[in-house]
Amino acid sequence: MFEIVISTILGLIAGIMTGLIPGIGTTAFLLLSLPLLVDQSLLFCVTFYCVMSATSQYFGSITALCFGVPGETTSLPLLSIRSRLENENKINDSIYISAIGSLIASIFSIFLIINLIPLFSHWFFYLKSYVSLIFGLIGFVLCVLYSNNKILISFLFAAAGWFLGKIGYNSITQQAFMTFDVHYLYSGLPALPIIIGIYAVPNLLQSIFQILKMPNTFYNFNLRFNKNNLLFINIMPIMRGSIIGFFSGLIPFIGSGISSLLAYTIEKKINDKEYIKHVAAAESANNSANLSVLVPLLSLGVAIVTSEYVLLEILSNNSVSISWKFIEQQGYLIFVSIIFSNFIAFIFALRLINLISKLILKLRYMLPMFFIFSIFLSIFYYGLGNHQEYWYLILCVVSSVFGFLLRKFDLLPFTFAFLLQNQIDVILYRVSQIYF
Amino acid sequence: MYKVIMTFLLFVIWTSTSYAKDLLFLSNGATTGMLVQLSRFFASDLEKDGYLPQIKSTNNNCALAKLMWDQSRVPTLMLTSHYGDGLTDINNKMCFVSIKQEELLYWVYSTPYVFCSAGNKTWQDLLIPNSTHTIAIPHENRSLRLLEEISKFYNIKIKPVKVESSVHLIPMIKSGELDFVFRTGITEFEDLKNKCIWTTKNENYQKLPNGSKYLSKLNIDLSVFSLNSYIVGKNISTQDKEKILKAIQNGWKSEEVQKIFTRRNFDSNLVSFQNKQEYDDKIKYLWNLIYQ
Repeated sequence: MFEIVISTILGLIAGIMTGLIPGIGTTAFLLLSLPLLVDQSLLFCVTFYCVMSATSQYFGSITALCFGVPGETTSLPLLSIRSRLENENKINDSIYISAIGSLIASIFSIFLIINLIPLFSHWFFYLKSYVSLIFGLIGFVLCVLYSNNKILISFLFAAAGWFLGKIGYNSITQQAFMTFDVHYLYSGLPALPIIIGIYAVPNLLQSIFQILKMPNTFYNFNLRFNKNNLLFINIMPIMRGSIIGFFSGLIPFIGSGISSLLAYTIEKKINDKEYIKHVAAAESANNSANLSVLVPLLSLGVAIVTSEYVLLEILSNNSVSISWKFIEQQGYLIFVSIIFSNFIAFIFALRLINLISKLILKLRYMLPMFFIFSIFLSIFYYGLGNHQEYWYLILCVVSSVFGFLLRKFDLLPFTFAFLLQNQIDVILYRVSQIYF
Repeated sequence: MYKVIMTFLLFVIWTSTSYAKDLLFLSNGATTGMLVQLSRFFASDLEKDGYLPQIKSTNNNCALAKLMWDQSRVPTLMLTSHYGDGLTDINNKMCFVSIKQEELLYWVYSTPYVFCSAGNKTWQDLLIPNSTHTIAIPHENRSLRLLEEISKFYNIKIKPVKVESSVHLIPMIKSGELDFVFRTGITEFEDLKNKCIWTTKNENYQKLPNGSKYLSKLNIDLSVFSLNSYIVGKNISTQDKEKILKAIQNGWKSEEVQKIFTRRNFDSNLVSFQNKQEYDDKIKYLWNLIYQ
C-alpha cells in the first residue's frame, strides 16, 4: 500500500513537471527518473508511469495558454488559437474548459480501458510471433511514412537505428556483429544512454531557448465566471474529443501525438469560429489518448509509444515484466491511482495555476540546468551498477551531440528501429523456425 | 607540509593494503538478477568475516566480466552459471573463461532440465513417425543436439526454437505456438502444471520419472542436462580459501538464500556438504559434470 501511495505521489509530481516544463515530454522525464525506478517493483514503475502520463496533459496547456509556450507537443493546437482567445478575453474560460475537459475525458477513457483490457488479454492470438512481427513491420512503415521528415530521410534514420541496434553478440546465431573485439560493445549499445542523449538532452537545450523567450509577466487566472454554463455548452466537443482521442491513442506509434490535432481539426469543421470548443475537443482528446495508449501495454505488455518502450526497457533491466496475472491482481490499484491523481491534477491545475506560473518565472533559468545535471548523474549512476559508468557517459554525450545537431529532424524512426532491432530479430528467428 | 601530506598518503596506502582484505566479487548477471542477488548475500557474510567484498556486475556483458577476471590481480571470486552464461560457453571466444579445477570454489545450485507438453500433445504424439513438433529450448547447443538425435531416431520433424527467458517463453506457450518445452525451472509455470513428462534428474524430482526411461533406445547421458551455478576464485591463499568457503557456506545456508532455492525448486541436497571429504567429492563431481 505504501508503495502505491509513494509511486502515485511521485508520478503526480513527475506529471506536473513534465507538463509544465516546456520541451520536456513523458519520454524525457521518464529517462530523467531512471535512478528512482532502478530496483523498484513492477507495481511501482507501472503506477509511476501511468500517473505521470495521465496527469502531464493537465499542465501542458497551462504554459501554452499563460505563456504561449507549449508544455507538451499535444498543446500545439492551443497555441495556434491563443491570440484569438486572448482577443476575446477567454483565456480564463479556456484554462477551465481544458482542465474539466481533461478530467471528463480521463474518466471516460478509464471506464473504456477497464472494459477493454480483459477483452484484449484473452486475445492470445495477439501473442503469436507472426502477429508481433506484423505489428513491428507496420510500426516501422508508419514511423517512416508519418514522421515529420521526408520518407527517404526517415528511412535512413531507421536504417541507422537498426544498424546500431544490431551491434553486439547474438546468442542465437552465436556470432558477433561489429564488436571489433571491444569488450564494451559485446553486449550491444545500451539503449538508455543513447536514447537519453538523442531525446532528453536536445529537448532540454531547446527548452532553455524557449524559456528565454517567455514574457516576464504571468497571466493572472481567476475562476469568477459561470462554470456550469460553460461546461454545459462545451460538453459535446468534450465527448467528441474524448472518443476521437481514445481511438486514435490505440493506433501504434502515432496515435497519442496526433490525437489533439485530429480532434481540433474535426471540431473546427463542426464549429468553425467557436475557439473554446476547439480547446475543449483538443484537450479532451490528448488526455483520452494518453490513457488509451496504456491498453496494449497493460493487457499484453506491448509498447506502442516511445515512452512505453523506455518503460519496458527499465522493467526488463529490473528483471520484471507486465503480465495479465499482474494486472488481474494489482490492476485495480493502478486504476484507482490514475483516477485519484486525475482529480488531484484537476484541482491543482485550477487552484495552483497562479502560484505555478510565478514559480516557473522565478526558476526558469535554473530548472533546465538542474535537469541536464540530473541526466548525466543518472546515466553515471545507471552505468555504475553495470561497471560501465564512463562508457555510458561517453555514449550519452556523443548521442547528445548527434541529437542536438539533428534536432530539426524527427528522430522517432531512429529510436523505433534502434530499440526494437533486437526484439524484431528474435521474432524473425522465431517465425522462421515455427512457420517455415 | 609536503612531508605531512606524503606521510599521510603513505599511511593510507599502507593501511589499505595491509589490513583491508579486499575481495573482488564479479558477476555477469543482470544488475537485478538472481546471480547478483546471491552475490550480495554471500558478500554480506564475507564482510562479517573481515573481508571487504566489492561486487561488480557487468549486466550480461560476459566479455567485460572475462576481461575483469583475467586482469584481476587481487583475490577475486566470480559467480557464474554453467550453460546459462557466455563465460562458460567454449564457442564464445570473447567470453569463455578457462578455469582450473582448483579454482572451482563453491557449488551454489543445480537444477535439472524438464520436458513438458505445452499444449495437448503427449509423448506418444511426439513419437508418431513423420509428425512435426515445435519445441522450445534454451540458448545452448546441447539441447539442440539432443533434439536432433531424437528426430533422427524416431523419424520425426522437430522445429527447435531457442528461447532466452521465461518472459519470452510464456507468451509463446499461451499463444499455442509451442508443442513442447525442454529447459530448467518450468514445472511451476501455470500453463505447464501437470503437463511435464520427464526430467533429467536421477532421483524423483517433482514426482517426474527420469527421461532415460523415455529415451532408453537412444544412447544419451541425460545427467549432463542440468543448470549449475558455482563460484570460482583466483589469487586466493589456502588460508583465505577456508575462511571464504566458511563465509559463503553461512550465506548459502541463510534463510533468504534457501527461500530463493526453494521457490525455484533447486536441488540443495545435491550441492550441500558437511565436511572436507564431502566438499572435495562434490567439487570433483561438479568438475566432471561441467567439463566431461
